[in-house]
Amino acid sequence: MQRNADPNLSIRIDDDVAEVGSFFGCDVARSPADGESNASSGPGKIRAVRVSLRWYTEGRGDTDSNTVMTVELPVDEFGMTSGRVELGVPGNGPISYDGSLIRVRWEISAQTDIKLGFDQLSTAEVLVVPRGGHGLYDRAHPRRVQ
Amino acid sequence: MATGDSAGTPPPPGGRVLVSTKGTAILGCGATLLVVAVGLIIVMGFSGGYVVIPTLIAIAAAIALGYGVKEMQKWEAFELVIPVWPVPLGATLDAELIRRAKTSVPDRDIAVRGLIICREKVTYQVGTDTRTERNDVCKQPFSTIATVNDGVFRAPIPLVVPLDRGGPTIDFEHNDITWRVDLEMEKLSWTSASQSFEFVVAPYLDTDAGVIQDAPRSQP
Repeated sequence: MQRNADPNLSIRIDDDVAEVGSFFGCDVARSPADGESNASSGPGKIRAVRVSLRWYTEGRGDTDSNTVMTVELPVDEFGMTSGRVELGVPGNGPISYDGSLIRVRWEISAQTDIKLGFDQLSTAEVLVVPRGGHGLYDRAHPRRVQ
Repeated sequence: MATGDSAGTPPPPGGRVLVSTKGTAILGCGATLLVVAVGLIIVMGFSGGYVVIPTLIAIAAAIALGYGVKEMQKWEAFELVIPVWPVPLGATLDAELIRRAKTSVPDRDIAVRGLIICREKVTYQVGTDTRTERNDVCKQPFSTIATVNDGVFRAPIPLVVPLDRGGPTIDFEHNDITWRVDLEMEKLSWTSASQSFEFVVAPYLDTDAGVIQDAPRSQP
């Protein structure tokens, strides 16, 4: 997790490798730190936590990207939430790919939606492998060094 | 490049028949060229212009058109029968190239050379220009012998999609991965000596492919 991440948000991904047509399961929880009253800026400041699964391309060409699924978790008046999220991977891919001109990456992102403020975004890289390839397919790109 | 469903050969269960459109494309180009050349001859003839070059073009287009028509009267279009569609990653399939004669043709053997190609194609913007780059990440040659028997041309095509080169077909706005099989045949007319069929590779593994069992586990 990085990029102006919400320090009070935790996402635990069951398995960061999934086959096309399956899903990533994750537990999401946000518990404000001591002294924080809904984002430290008054009640109702944090409106929701959105968890998304998306892919994007890297490489020589211009970037293509697509968010395949977004789940919005409501927060209480203290900015707290917790829940189980399952993010489905489309059956037709694309898979994580490491080519000569094209690289396809997948990530799960969690966005803390703050009213009248900059949203906080956390991302975690995941791998999508072909159907039948979990534990067998080794052609996905190397993980990003974090 | 061939697309579309079967015309003559029924597709196998779970498979597909790709039909070559090359013959009709050549005929279409020839006809268009002929019409343009004749139009130029008429216009330039009335205006007193120089009609030798349009006349030569018209003659060449007419010859090509006649040759193509003759070829189409003699043969149906090429068909590539693929037993599994879309083709899984790591698959080794026994595809078949078929062409049926419309008239009597002598039995004979024909050497076929082929190339299975996986191509990455990207486009990117530089200023106001859109540039394109292509790279063939997989080029797998093969050769086979076609037989013409009882008026049917048949060639076994080993359709191999390696696991370690290329990836499933993608068709994004700026990034594409395509697979195709290019075929070169001896002793055939110029309109049919080379054929190309594009096929789709799916993002799932061929579970019958022994190579998968030997592949190591994904590593971080």
